[in-house]
Amino acid sequence: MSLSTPTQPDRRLERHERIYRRLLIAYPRSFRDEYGDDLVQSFRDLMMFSSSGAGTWWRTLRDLITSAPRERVSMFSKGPKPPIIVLFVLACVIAAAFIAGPGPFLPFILIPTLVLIGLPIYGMTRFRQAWLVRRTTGGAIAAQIALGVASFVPVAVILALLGDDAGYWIFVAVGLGLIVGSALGILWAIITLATAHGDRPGGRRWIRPALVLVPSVAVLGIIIGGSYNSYRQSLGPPGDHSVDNASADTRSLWEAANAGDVDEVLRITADTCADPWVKFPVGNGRHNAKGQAETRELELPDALEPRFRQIADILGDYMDDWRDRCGRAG
Amino acid sequence: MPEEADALDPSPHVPLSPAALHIVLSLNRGERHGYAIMSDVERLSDGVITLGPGTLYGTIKRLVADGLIEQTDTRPDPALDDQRRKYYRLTALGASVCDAELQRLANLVERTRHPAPVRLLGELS
Repeated sequence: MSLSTPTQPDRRLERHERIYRRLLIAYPRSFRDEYGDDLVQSFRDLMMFSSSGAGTWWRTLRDLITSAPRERVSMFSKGPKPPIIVLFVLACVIAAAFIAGPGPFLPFILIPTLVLIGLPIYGMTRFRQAWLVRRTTGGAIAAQIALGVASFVPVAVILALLGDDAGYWIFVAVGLGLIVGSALGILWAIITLATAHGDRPGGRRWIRPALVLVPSVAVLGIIIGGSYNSYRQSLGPPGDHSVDNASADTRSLWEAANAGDVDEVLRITADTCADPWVKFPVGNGRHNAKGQAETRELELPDALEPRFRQIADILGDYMDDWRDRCGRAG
Repeated sequence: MPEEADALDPSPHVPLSPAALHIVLSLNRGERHGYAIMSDVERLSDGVITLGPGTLYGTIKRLVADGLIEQTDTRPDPALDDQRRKYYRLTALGASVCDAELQRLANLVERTRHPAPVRLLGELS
């Protein structure tokens, strides 16, 4: 029995086929799995019956460029959608972060953004392989978030009753709750993955695209967060804890503090009942005079100490009256 | 039966995209495999429409999902054709959609060639 050896044209055809099969990576995996062999078969037919190999390649490549994105978009639109509750909660947190100011924006938006947007997007685009992500972003996500938020709300209520920053602490509770809730979901999915038996669609192939996607979303979050932070700073909010002051005449307060005009700061805070948590320029830095007035523990270079202590003393005398008049616990 | 009539209602599926229309027209002439459909479409459209493999099977996927065409179980005689080729044919719904789309295009051509006279507002009263 003799084996027939492939002829020269056969070998050339096989080479073309191999190249085309590699190019099929442009199509979604599900499409390749279902129609990959048919695509190659049609390409082979085109090559065999066409008078020009270059013409066939030109036709095939033009088609690849237009049809591959169409199939990707079509698969994306048919993939599982994140529950509406996730989008709603995310919108609330983003709104809260915008109100709260730039300080908490990055940690409280970036992490939920990574978890709540990045992973579901990955899940939608690669859902056949994203078994772990589907576990995480299924209907249980609402319960996970609710559990996370609920676990922080009592602490937030206590802190809000003790202090005067109720809105801030509720915002912190929701942000932490989101992070913890999402982390619980991922932990649960990992445990399920580790203990599951039988067929796991796609195995661990989700790792590679996740390694690409997560940093991409992180960079996007940093750019958005950084831009927003710069925008808020350009308005002149006084430092990183600006919840109370945001409702007062922040620009005037910030400008007065920046100019070292303690009398003007006191006048504005007396008029508006704003928390005089403003930072005065001392040397190359900015320091919190209210904190200095209350704790007396701020360490400053000797040369800068007298002027700043003078401001802190004036503010300290003012604080008792301010607390009585404005009904603040301090 | 009203349910059967609904199942063959072509209206949700028309108009067809150019690629889908030509594939349906090709299969209206009988069962075909991928390359035969591509050649048929090229011939039918006088070379204006040339489908590549990706567009062909992307459209076939959607037509199968919509129930307009289906893959046949029969395989050609190995002596006559490559057994790896899959053959497709029109379903009853696909035939109904094909008729409706051709009728729609015929009406369009008719109206374009013989437009109804435009009546002025005063003439209506």
